[in-house]
Parts: sequence; structure tokens; C-alpha cells
Amino acid sequence: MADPLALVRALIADQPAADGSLGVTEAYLHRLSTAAAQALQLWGAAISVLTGSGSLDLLIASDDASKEIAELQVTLGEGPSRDAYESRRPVLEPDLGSGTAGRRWPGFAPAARALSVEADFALPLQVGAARLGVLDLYRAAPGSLSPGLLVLALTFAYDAVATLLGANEHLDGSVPDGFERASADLSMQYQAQGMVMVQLGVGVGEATARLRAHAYAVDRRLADVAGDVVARRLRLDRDEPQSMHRVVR
Amino acid sequence: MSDAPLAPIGHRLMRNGIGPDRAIEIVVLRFRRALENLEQSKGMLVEWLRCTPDEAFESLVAESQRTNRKLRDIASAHVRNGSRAHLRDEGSVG
Repeated sequence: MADPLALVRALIADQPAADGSLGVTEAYLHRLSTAAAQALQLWGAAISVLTGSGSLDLLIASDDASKEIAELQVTLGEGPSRDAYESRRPVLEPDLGSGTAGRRWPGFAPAARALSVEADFALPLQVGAARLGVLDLYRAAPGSLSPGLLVLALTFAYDAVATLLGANEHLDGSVPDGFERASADLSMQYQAQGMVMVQLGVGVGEATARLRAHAYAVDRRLADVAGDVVARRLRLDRDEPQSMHRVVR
Repeated sequence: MSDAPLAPIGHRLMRNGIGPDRAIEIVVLRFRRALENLEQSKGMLVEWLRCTPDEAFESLVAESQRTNRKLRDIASAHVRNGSRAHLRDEGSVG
């Protein structure tokens, strides 16, 4: 592998065009995640980025199942991607079924395994000490990444950073929009936060916590719960436990 | 939050002794926060005005033109003031 970056970019270029509704940066990152999934023999891959409040949120995933795993980490507030983000170091967990993984992420490890993910390699996306997000690589079989695949994985992460910073010359000189336009799911989550703020008379922090708690309590994706709030199919109640909710028709 | 371009903000931070890494983080965080506030503020208006997110956005733009204030300033004021009902009355934001 003479030039891993050239190889990674060729692999990304080979991927089919992404959903037309995505922005340029997101479309490129989506192809990056599907290319990484193929090249590294993964179950799937996901990219999370930091939000205005300094927490991590899913930006793009190779497929819906990976999206679900990444959101699980957001909903539960634990997992390799969060640890990689906070420690600014790769968190390579070759066996989510091990005792150490179970103790480290008591909520995430069993939940990920229930969805057939046995290993999670979380690579921080950063420039120096500046943190932009995390690339999560999920595998269906336990086991470490071989040194060759790890180099490739880090190269995918490098290219993701370059893309997020708008420095990727493969984007045809278009305006980089990774941070200008939240993906549709994220926009909806923020709108839902605003609606819940008004509905419950609370601040943005509590509104966010209530949405997450509800998603966790009813075992649904945060993005789906947010979508229901925005579509007025769901209204969180002021004083009820999170699992008690009214369905508005 | 001003509408000054973000890169100059980064340079200003660095002139004030903030390291380049932290400056990039701050610039990105500010940008993200402005976008999030815009969407959150749309959600708040959707509830108050019983309108769609697109109509909420139009109403934010109208408020910006009427009061000659920047969109992101109005949005962040909405979110900062949280759930206060008086936001609903015209012009009393902030």
C-alpha cells in the first residue's frame, strides 16, 4: 500500500452516488462510510460530529442499522465513540462481549451485541487537539483490526477530517457545508427540542434530556421520536414519567 | 453572536493567545450553535404560532427585517430566553 490516501480516495470514488437530498459534504462522507465498511470488512460505519453544546451527534452512517448503533451511543450517553471523543484517542474494542467492555459500557455493550455488533473501533476526528467528531467502525465478528486495516481505517478518518474542514479537493470547489447545514435528522432534532421547550416550559438542556429519556424509555431512535414530535404525532407530557405519553392524532 | 466571518474570529482568538487547536474548536462550536439555535427557534415558533417549520423560518426572516437584527441573534435570543411566553408578543425578544 504505497499511498493509503490515494487508495482510500479511489475506494470512495468507486461508491455509488449518495441520496440527492444530502449536502455535498454529507454525500461525500456517506460514500466514505460505505467505502470504509466494504474495504475494512465491517458491519457498518458512522460519523458523529460535535454539536453546539459540545456533545456528539450522529451526522451520517453507511446504512440504517449503523445509524441505530451510533444513536444508541448518543441516547445512552456512553460507548466507544464518546470515550474516543473525550480522550482524543482511538478506542479500539475488539470484543464487546468481554467482561471489561461490559463493565465499561454496561448499557451500550449488550445493546450493540443484541444488534449483532461484536466489535467497535472508534477513531477521533481531530486536528491537533481540536475535536471535530468520531468515526465509528462496527464489526459483526469479535477480533482486532489487522495492522494493515488499521492504517486504512486511520486514513479514512484522516480523509473525513479533511472533508469536514472543507479542505478536500475532491469536492469540486463547492462550499463545504458539513457545518453549515445539519443533516435532515439533526435539523429535526433541534426543531423538536424547540417544540418541547415550549410544550414543557423548560430550557434547551432539559428539553434535550427529555427527548433522549423518552427515546430510551420507549426503545426508539432519537431521530424517530424527534420526527414524531415535529409531525405532532407525539407530545411529551409535563409531569408524566417519560414512558407515559399521549399520542396526538 | 455577530455575523462577522468565522475565520477572522479564529485569527482574533489566536492573537489573544488562544492556541490554534482551541481556536478551531471555538469557531466550529459557534457555527454549530448558531445553526442549532436557528432550528430550535423554528421549533419554538411552530408551537407558539401553530405553523410549519418553513412558516416559522419566514416569520424569523420577517422579524429580522422588521427589527433590523441578524437572524442568528434573534434565534439565539429565543433559545436563551427559553420558554418565556412573552416572546410570543412582537418585538419583545431579547
